[in-house]
Amino acid sequence: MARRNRYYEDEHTKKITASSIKKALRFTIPYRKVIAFLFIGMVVLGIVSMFPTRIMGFIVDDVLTTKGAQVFGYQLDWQTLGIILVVCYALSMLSDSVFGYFRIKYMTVVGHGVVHDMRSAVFANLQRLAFDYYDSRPNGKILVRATSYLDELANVFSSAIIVIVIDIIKILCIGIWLFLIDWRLASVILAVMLPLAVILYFWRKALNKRRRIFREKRSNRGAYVAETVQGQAVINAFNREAKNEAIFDDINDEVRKKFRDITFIQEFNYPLMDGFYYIGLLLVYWISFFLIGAGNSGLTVGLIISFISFSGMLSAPLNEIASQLQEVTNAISNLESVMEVIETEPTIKDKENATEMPAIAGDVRYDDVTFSYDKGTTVLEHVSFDVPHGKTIALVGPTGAGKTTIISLLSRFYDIDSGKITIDGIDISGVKLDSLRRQIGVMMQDSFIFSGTIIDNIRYARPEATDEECIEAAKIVCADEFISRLPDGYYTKTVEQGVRMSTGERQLLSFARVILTDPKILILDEATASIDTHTEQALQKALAVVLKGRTSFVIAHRLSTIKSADCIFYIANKGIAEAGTHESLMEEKGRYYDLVQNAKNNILDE
Amino acid sequence: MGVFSGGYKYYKQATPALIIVYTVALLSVVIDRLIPQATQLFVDRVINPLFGAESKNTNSVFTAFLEPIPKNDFQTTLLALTLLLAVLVLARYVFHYSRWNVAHWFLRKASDRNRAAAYDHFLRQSPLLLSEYTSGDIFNYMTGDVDALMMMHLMHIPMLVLCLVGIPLSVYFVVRINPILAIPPLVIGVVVYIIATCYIKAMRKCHQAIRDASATLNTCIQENINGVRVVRSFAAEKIETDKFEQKNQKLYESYMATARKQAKYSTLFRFCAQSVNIICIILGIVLVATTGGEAMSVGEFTAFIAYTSQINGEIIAIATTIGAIQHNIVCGTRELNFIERPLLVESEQGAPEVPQNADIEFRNVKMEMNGKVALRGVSFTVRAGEKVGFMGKTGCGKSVIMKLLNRYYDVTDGEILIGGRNIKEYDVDSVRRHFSFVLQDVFLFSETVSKNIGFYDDAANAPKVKECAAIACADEFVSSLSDGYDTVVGERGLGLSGGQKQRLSIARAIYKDAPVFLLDDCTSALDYATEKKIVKNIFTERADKTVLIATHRANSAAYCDRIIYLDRGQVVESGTPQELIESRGMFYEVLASQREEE
Repeated sequence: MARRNRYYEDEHTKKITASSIKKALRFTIPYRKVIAFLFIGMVVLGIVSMFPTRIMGFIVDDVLTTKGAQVFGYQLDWQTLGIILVVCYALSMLSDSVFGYFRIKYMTVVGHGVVHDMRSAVFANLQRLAFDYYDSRPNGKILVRATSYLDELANVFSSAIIVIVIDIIKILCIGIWLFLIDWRLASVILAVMLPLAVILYFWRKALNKRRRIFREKRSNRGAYVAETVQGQAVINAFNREAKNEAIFDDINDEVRKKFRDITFIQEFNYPLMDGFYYIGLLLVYWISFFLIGAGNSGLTVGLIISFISFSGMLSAPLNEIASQLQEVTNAISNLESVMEVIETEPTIKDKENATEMPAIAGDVRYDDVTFSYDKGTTVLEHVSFDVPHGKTIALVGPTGAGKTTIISLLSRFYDIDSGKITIDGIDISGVKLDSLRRQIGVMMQDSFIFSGTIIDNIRYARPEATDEECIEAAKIVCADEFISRLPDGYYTKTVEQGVRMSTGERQLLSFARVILTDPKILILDEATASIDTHTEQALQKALAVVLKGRTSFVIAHRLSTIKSADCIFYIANKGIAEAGTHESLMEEKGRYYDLVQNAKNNILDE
Repeated sequence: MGVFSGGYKYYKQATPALIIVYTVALLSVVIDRLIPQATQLFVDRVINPLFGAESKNTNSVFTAFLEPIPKNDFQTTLLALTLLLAVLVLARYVFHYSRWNVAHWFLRKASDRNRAAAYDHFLRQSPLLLSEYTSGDIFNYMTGDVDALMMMHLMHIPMLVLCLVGIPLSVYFVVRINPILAIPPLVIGVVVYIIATCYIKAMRKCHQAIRDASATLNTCIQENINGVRVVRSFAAEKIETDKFEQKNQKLYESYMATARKQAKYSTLFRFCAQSVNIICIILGIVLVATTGGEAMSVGEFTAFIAYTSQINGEIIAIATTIGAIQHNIVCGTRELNFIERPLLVESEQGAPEVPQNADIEFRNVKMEMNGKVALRGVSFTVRAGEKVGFMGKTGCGKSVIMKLLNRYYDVTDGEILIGGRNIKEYDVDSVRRHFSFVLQDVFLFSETVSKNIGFYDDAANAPKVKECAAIACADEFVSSLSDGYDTVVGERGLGLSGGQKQRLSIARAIYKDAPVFLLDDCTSALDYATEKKIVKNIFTERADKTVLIATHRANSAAYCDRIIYLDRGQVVESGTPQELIESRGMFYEVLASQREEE
């Protein structure tokens, strides 16, 4: 069994690599046209919005100075300029409104589109990942990756990245305008911006680190909540409410403290960005002051005012970058976890040249199979057997000897260390998982019921089955009786864990689910353990019909079931200790004999 | 509104922090309006006069500040203004930094109180009511919804308040420059208000759709994680993926529907905001030009421009904020509705404790749930120390009896008495302490074996853990695990066989050591020999306990002092095993058929 992570243990996800980021960005490719539209729109809008500011400067010159306004060598009065200004404004307003409308729509297309696609990718890989992935961490930690972490990414793809790029372009455009207006003043602004970039780099790095720690703590909390949601009945039964609440409080405190660590440095963003702007502004005042004092500066009031207005326009994108960077930092730390799910390669998957498993007849052969969950501690050693099609094999033996393990290898839920498993002479490791598993019906110890209705659950693996077929299957496994008694019969709503149904009823229901798929190989793992004797007896008769023509492996404790098998395997000591029919094993007087005697004594005790 | 009054309960303790946050934030808003007043002076008192323009009257709140400095000492004026601006800006940074640090710390603390309340309520709510919710919903109540409510108090309401204070304040400063200029913002204000009310209504619906779609999707994902083994064994990945894709698509579409509405409304908002901006500017220019600068100085004009852009920005911010608040309200309301739903099972404060050696009596108990009758008039008595077996078909009501005793829910009619007193009169906690309950459904925590067994008090006692494991026949296999009692097992005990998990959960109940043991069909995955051994162990090693066993195996029941046979929610047979065998009733039939099997 893989080492399992617990709710209070941080999972150390690797720092995101460049290739992961690249992979993540690849999710935006389908939206490249929309992104291009947004991008161009924003650039055009950015440029259009700059004209009025400069024109205003000219107006100021015309109104306030005797010289009047010189526009590219033309002398223009304020009325003319005013008309131009109105036109410019009207244009920018129109384009802003039209573009603004599409911008919001398209940003959602991109943002939630990318998240939608990523979620599909996460889900698709979750469907591929083998059990070891699920076994090695609490379910809650997987859940948050596919839900809340992804939700938080939408904004990054829809706006943050675009906005940051646009803002950088805006800053560049404004910078060029500034240089066009007056290169001396512009260089001052530039000189202030450079150290800002350096500080920002380190600030972001520090923030990133704290974000990652925070996210790990939060993921722990998610795991704890998810576990509580599932284990509520047990928690109640053990009077653990107060204790669990105390633990939950501790976890919350931990999460909050980690967030405090973030705010400690995160909230420097605004003073940093804005501060640099004001330093630049004051420098502009002082330098203009000295330049004008030196005489013949070529500066005008209008020019300085538009320069200041322009540099004022810098503060908006700077502040925006500050807040968006915050989001991107958060997103990158989420992205690490999300990409981890997407990029983890399943340990069990189709081989490159895997073939379809043809229709199974049912000859099963284990050839010197050795298996371990963890390297080093083998669970099965050198197991070999041959089962011709149509035969029923009963597996008996002490609990935990490996009965379930042996049969779960047949569906290739795990890969074996050495040896070979074949069905109809075909090595199962060389066929497509899907085509293999579809032909094997497994009825597990845990019967999981999905939310939906009773009939949905029966129809689960064969969506095209008619209601009649489903009811037929339910009748075969004697589930019809209890289902008919439910308030809405077959259309009664089920909740995930089938809270309203008893374990026995759930087992009957999942049995019907298996029968409906008409599998060629049937595996029943304590399938009827919680079913009462009465129903079980009726079921036995039906089972005789069901098992006919199918190769079946049955793990059961009821001797009647075991006795009727064609062959009995007694599993112990990492393999098959005894094999044979009931009669032959009884004659052998080995461990099977002891088991049967034990059971008999048990009943005759009274 | 429920969210505000109901939700505020958890934020009450944060009131001092909220006062600080709002005060500081409001001060920042004021400073934001003062900065243009300072920059105005840069233009009117330094730059403009430098070009030889005569120094016009400039109306700034800081004019008095420059009073002592001679009008033509530009350098000192510039220095004084630089200092003034630096002080204003620095104050704003200090306010910003302290505001957010205080807000995050205290409001997150408040929100954690809310989260703990949701958690607490969930734990104490009856499983009967909880079955009406999907686990995706419940997960949200303790995570996303709580956060949404927090964001409302932390970000969105303050933001809205600040905008609503900031806009009039900007208008005030504009009026100080020239009253005519205040007309456009006031007119547009009314229009914005009307649009905003429509917007709020539209957004509420949209966010409800998003919240629903997201909960459905989360449930689907959660089921796939919890039920991964079933999905794989049916090779149903494709089917699941189709189901998932539908839900994923629905969520995307609900976001798109919201975006379309948002686009429409926010275009209107932007249009209004910008009209104010432009009309004001044009008005300003005309004023300046026609009066030759009399109506307004250049500095005042720059300040004026700054104010119009502030108003512009804040109108747009209102639009975004009210959208976000709708989302918060939708999520918050759901969470609060969940918390405020009365507990189905409760006890009064100071209710008595269950006495140690108490008889248990069911008096004509009827139980109906989810439209299904589970018990129809059940009566029996179990004396302290007695071992009683419950038998009957699947769904006959055995589990319901066990759960009623643990007060997972209460009877519809009739009475359950413990020590002659109605079970409802006792303290719920003490009732549950009275029972060591092994549930039919095995649930182990992601924890070590020893912490799972010692769940009752977090495995303080290692020898006791081992002893209990031994009674439950689990010691042998646990010791053979790679890390022994320190092996970590998963939620559904992944990696352990069904029988192993059942034995651990039995050991867990034995560890609790309550006066009454309730074993609800918890040996189904065990072989006869092991089951027999465990039952024997419990009866001998814990001989003083009262034991109620629900089982399908007649031989286990036959060990008990008495057997109660149920059929469709009614007691049909009751007596010692010998009596029942002699009466040749249903129990005998089962026993015989199980014997026949051998």
